[in-house]
Amino acid sequence: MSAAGARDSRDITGPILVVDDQEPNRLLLKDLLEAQGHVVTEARDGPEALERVTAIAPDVVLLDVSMPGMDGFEVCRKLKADARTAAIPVLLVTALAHREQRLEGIAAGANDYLTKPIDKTELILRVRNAMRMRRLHAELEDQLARLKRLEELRDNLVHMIVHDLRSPLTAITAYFELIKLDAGDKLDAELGESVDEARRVAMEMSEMVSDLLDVSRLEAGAMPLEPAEADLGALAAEAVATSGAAAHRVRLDFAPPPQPMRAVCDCGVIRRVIANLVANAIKFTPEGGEVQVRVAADGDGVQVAVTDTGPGIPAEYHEKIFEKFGQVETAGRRLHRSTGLGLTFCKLAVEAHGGRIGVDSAVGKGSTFWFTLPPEGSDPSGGVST
Amino acid sequence: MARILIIDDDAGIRQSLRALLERAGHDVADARDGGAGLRIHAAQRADLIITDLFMPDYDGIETIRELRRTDPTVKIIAMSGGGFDGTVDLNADAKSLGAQHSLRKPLDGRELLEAVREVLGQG
Repeated sequence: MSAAGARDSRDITGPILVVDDQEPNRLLLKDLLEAQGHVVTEARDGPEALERVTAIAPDVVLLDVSMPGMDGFEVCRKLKADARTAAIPVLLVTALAHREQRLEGIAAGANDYLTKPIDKTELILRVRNAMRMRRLHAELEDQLARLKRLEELRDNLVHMIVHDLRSPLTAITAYFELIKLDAGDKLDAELGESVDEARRVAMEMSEMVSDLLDVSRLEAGAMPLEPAEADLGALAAEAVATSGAAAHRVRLDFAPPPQPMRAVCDCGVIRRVIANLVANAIKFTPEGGEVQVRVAADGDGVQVAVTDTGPGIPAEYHEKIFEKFGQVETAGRRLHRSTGLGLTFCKLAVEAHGGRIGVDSAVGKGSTFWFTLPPEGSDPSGGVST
Repeated sequence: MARILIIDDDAGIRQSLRALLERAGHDVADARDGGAGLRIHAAQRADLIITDLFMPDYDGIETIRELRRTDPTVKIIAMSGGGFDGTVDLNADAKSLGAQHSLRKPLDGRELLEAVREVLGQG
């Protein structure tokens, strides 16, 4: 099916390079190999061998060790040091008695060896093995290239979708705003609610696009943070104010800390992290349930914790839900805990501040999502590596 | 009521923002790139310019720089979606050049109205 899968031994028909300073030795190997249907090219010394390898890209190199000038070890080391030729199997040809030579050859990167005098069967078997190794390597390289292409395609697709969604979403929310502005008091209550709901859903979609954008940026280390001294209690109060808990018939319990909880952070980013955690908690809390938001000192730093009375999350998902598109499934069945990219954004954003994020939860007992920011003065890095 | 100029290469955004801002009582003009925007502004001065940052030909950063040179007091709101893959953040650059406010796409209509009110000092 795949391009790599279609490749088999018949596709590896490249020549075999025989390197030896003695013509009779070359001719012997050449005859034996040609009798097996191989195409054989010769080189008389090290420099010529390197030149031939570059020119014809052989599938196997048979390399005599003892040559004047550049010996076989040196040729082998050069071939293995060059990424373009490193994958070509090298079979060292040594005298039977010279065990040290063989070891040095393996150390130089040779894949196998042949001993003189040449045994025909051994030659055929070892060359066949080398060919097989070459073929497997080529297949792996093909697969790797294919995976990289697919990954690139996926990223481009995500970027394209995000890019193309921005304009229509902007237009949709603008028109909803216009309807409310223009006809707000002319609509009957039910219709007015429908417009509000349509606007809310458009905004939700808009947030998903923003999360996707931010995750791309944070992954690329391209989200410049603007660190400033902030009171996390105040940031939490702002995030809680726009949560819309009432609309979901969820009670929101936020007790502002008695004194300022100072940390150095990008206020806009951390406010969105808190808003994301609160929105996530509300989403998974049944009607009549409660979401609790707490800000407290944590050692020298500050911790924000958002607790819900939702269904809870099995332990095996406590890390996975922070992954891109991570979802909670039970025996292949998706539970209602598709979090999109909100939590991934939170994790990348908190880590970019040098902080930590996690969840404490058990099935049937609700969940507490928390994050901590390091004390002020510690240097938040501008980006994260993945 | 203020006179507002929208500069964006996307026709859907120009139309929708224009409709919203007109309903909010403003006098609105629009342009598809920075060059056209500057010409319109020179012919009839706007109180507030809302400009996209990524545009072909004459982009938003250039536009803001040129505006600040020729008209230091005009109010500016920058908006950007972060380029093709969303990883470029020019909003900080826009602000350092003197934009009063920056918004990220996708824009929220309500957020835009609030920003306009704030920048114009009407709310």
